[in-house]
Amino acid sequence: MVMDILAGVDIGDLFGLALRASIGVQAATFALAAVGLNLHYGYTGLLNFGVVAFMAAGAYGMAIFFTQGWLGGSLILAIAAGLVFAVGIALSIGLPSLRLRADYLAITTIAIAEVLRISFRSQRLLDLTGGPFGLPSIEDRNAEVSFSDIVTIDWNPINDGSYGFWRLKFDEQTLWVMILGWTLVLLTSLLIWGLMKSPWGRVIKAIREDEDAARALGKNVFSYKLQSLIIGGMIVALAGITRSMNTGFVETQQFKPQTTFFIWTVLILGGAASVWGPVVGAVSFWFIIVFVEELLRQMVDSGWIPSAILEANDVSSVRMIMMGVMLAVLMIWRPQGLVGKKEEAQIDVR
Amino acid sequence: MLIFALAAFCASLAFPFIASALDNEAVFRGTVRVGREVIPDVTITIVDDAGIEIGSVVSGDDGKWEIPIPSTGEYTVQLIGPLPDGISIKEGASSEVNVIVEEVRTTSVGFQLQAEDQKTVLEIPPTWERFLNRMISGLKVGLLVALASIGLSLIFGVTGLVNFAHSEMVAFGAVIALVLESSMGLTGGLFPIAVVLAVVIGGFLGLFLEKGIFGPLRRKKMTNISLMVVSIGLAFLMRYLMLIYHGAEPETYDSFKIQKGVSLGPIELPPKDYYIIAIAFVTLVIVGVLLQRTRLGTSMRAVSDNPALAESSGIDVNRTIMWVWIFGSALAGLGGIMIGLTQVVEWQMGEKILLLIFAAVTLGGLGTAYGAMVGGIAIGLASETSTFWLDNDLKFLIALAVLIVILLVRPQGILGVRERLG
Repeated sequence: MVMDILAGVDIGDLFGLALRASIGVQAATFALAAVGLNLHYGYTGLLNFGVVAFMAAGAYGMAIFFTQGWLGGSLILAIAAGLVFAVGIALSIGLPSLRLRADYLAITTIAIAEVLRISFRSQRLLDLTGGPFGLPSIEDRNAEVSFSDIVTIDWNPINDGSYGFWRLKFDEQTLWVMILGWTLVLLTSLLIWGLMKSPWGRVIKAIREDEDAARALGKNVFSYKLQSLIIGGMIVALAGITRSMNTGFVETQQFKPQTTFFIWTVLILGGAASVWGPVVGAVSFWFIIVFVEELLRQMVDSGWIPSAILEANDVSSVRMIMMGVMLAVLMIWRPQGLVGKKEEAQIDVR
Repeated sequence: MLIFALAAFCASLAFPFIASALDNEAVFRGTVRVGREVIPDVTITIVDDAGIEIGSVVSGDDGKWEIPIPSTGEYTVQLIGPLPDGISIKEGASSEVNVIVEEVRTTSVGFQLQAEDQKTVLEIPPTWERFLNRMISGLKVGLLVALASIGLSLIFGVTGLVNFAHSEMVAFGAVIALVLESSMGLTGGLFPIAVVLAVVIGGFLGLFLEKGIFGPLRRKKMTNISLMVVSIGLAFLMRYLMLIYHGAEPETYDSFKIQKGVSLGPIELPPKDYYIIAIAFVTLVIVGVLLQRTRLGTSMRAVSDNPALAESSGIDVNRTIMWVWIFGSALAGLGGIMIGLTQVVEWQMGEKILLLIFAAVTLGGLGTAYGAMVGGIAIGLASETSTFWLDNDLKFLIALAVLIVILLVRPQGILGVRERLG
């Protein structure tokens, strides 16, 4: 499958790598987080710029409860604790700030996400969160007291080995987390689909379209918004937990604000306010990112791009630039993304 | 407060540090201490993996001890004691540290100790001078944040856009000044030329953003929320272009490397800080006068108050918006250069200052230039003086906490008008 269009650039190789990324664990976790964000932003019109706060709440909640051995060291209960923590974050963001105007809500959520990240990093919580070292602590990682091992080894029904073909070969641990991740994406998407068919979903969408009209019909807008924040927040927390099962540890660098905007780009690319938008978005986002990045890398290596324009070790920064450009360009020319409906994706929230 | 300080110190000792120096002797050494207080006359013993004692030593007056070991292998370093009253092994920690020596070299071994007596923990006495210096430092940071924030607030006032790329305009100014300084040799006495040029280029950046991006999009009837998302995309584009074409290394302006402090009564600052405070203060006063007294300033305030009314009374709204972008961006650039002078110039500057700027602007009231000034100074003072009581890494949290509380209690800010909430 090698097509030499440009000498030194292996198109088949690029396709393989991009395809691999588009179905990988990262794509699954981004899709899952985008499903949650879609409920917030796409359906309810909440401008949540603190997506990572929910991911961090889920991942850290799970990791803290597990490594501290609270709840008897049960991983299932620790995951539940992570979800409860995410509900707590949703309440503490929502109760005071859901009455704010949209752009104020955006600033508040991004600030709360940073407060959470910096607090987790603080020396004072070193014993609980591992501070800058993260969880599990260095000693525990050596002693193999790891939550990810329980999921990827103890709970793994797949026999050891390598599965798949060509570039799409995965070992049994990665494959298992992929299956778990995409299953969660499927289940939560079906949940959203069901919710949007229900009377509850119609109220939510009515609030997005015209909050005052919904209020005039006697609906408790605040309560519905809070419910949406909680449900979406728990889905995003699941994404945080799934990702930490893949990386094997939780640390604050994983929860920088840029992750929030990656997920926003995924959602807008796929199409906000559509059930399958997040999935389409995540798959195509990772395909595009990895394809272009690898293409640039090979072109730089083979001299097609002079080093004055781009150097080899700068290629990874291109990902961030592509994310930014994609976000802006989509917003301007195609706010409904790939599969969304234009009339539903016009954001004019207050 | 004392308990917090105690906890912080214990935390800093929580990992038994096992570091290695580069000399070629097989030695274990360390200092028995709690915080900065050293503990003499404590017996340390080393046992090898077979349980045989290799050596034993008593810590000296400076708390230091050193025991040579025969070769590589696994050893246990034991803290035998006696520890003075009020000092103990940290809860959950052990008086034994296992060390595996893989190379023949000096290995440092530490123990996790804690002091129950708080007096041994507070090493810097909280003096009035120290507090005053923190206040001055807070004033400096506050003035710079104010300088950087005015543009954001004015742009919001006239267009309704919350511009997430504003902090990148701040970083852009700092980076351009650095590039001008090094490439055109504008060092020392010529540095002000680089500053002026960078501020002018910053103004052109604002002109470009308005004429090239946000103006046309506004006429396309895009909502302010969509434009805000566009500005986020733009911020990432600008930030990572600076990374690629300027580099990842934090740099400082050559003209102002390390300067010796100059005392002014109880205040001690490097000379550049006096200049920075003076320049920032004078600039803010000039901006205030311009807004209050000139035609353009009046029309900026008028458009900010009510664009439709301003337009019907003969003000060219689009021209006013253009000038707001130019001035706001130039001021952001100047703020960036000043911040770069006090700290470092790097591509991540914008990301680091973004939320401080937002905090300042919302605290003062989105849309009012004076609000940004008041908010900036308040945020600077609050975060810098907080280090008098709290850890350094928490000062950013103070600013964010102020931001969140203000949004919840009085979202229109100190000087904002209630109607803005819509």
